[in-house]
Amino acid sequence: MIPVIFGPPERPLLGTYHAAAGGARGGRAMLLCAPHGLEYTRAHRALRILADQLARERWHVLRFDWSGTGDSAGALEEARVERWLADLEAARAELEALSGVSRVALGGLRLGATVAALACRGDAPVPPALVLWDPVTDGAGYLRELGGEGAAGGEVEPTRISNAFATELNRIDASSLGRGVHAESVLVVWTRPSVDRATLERGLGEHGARVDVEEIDAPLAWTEEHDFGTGPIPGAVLQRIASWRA
Amino acid sequence: MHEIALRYGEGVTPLAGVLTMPEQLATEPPAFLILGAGIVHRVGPNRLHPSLARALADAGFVSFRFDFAGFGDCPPRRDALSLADGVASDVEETLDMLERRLGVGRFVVAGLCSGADNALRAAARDERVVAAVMLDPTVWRTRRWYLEHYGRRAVQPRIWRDVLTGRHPIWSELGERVGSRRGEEAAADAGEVAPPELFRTGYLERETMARDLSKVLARGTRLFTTFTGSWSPLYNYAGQLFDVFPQIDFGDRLRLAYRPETDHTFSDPMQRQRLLTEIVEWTRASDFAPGRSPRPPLRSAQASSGS
Repeated sequence: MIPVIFGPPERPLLGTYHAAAGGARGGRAMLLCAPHGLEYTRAHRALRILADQLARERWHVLRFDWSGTGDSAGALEEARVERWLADLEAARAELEALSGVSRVALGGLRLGATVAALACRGDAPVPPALVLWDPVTDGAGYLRELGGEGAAGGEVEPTRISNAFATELNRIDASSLGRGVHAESVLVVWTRPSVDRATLERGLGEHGARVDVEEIDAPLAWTEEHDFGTGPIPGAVLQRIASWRA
Repeated sequence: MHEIALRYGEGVTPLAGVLTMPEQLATEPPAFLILGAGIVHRVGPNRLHPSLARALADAGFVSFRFDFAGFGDCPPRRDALSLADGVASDVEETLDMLERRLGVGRFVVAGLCSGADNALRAAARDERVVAAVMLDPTVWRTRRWYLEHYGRRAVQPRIWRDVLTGRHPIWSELGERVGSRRGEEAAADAGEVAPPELFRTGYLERETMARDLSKVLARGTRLFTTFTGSWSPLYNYAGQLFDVFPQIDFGDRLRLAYRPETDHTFSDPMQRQRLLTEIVEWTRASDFAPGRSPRPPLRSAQASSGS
């Protein structure tokens, strides 16, 4: 694991690079996009282990912190989907440079998966693979969920959402998320039931992508385990993603 | 302010962290080492550690935050050290690296929860550590804790009503204690795994902590200690620390604060800012011990990232 700082000098981003087993440049590369807020902290271990497993499967992997999160620059209140899309492009370029792979796959968990999907629309590069692990498909519902956590009392991190970010999140729904996504192949992993999944999955396949869907009975990586501040490791999910033939 | 990602310790167990450099260094400052809390990675709960690092940088102080081996972005240990010994080894290796890289011989080690205990331990082991910032460290109840705890409740009629009508949580707690004892036996029979060992690397014995406190204070080490409202099951009045360790003369080397309105991770922005300001002001005002003469740096602190 190699820590790297990249991106624009006025807003540097921090990431961790996992070189593919064997050390050779080229081959396959995947950018892993983290969740937001408390979910980021809780899922950090799971994503690190996933990156290690992908590296053993000869993927070059870059995990990184979005602007305003983790070790990256900026305040959480400055988070915007638009800014995170720019972060993703900077991370993609960094991974291409580190790995020597010109076409980078995208993967993400929760809101990270949602942003990864959004990054596959319009004129964006078409990734050879897209992994969506429990993507947020209902932005308004996600905001209500955050508000519920904040209202639970006790030691919960207030997830400070600006009005602009809330507006962006409110626009996210399964129908608009799935439509317009261009990727050669897609893996969607559900560990929590989603009423919107059929809508999302239908949209993902509209442009000819091969869409594989897995429903796995596993603990939710972004939830807190035993008051430790971190989440469980859903081994079955990590194994499925690492072994997926994109 | 700028930050550099560092990877070091390649010879034994690779470690990694982030060095935060101010644009202008304060005069002969100590460098800060920020330790991880529990099994949360180096960012800390609610992004506490980058917040602290950047506030210190704004005031002219260098800091470094890193992951212990096997946690965060660091691979598992390659040696056979226990978790507690491994943590101590990682701290020492990190101090060595910073001393060489920065040419600094004095350090302030900061931590929350288990990180606070490890900060004190680091100070006790290493004369380079001239101060420790301890947020919600291990502490013990005192007789007055019980008076405060039950006394506050005794004056609330609602409490008495709930006790007499069986609705008070004490009845379910009593039931759980009976049940949990049976449950623990069942769990042991089923081979269930106890919570991570890292949660048991804090001080288990008051005497051990007292010994370390006495040792560091005798050396002139400064202590910045804060207890929050989240620690109320253990700490519930200002000055309780003096009652926990009545045999210790803290003199003017301890800055102690009790913040019942604050939660464990200082998640409220105003409370967070207050903490950061207090740490910076305390650092500026403190007359730290000289530490030791630093070893000559191997290279400039402006070295490239990832090296």
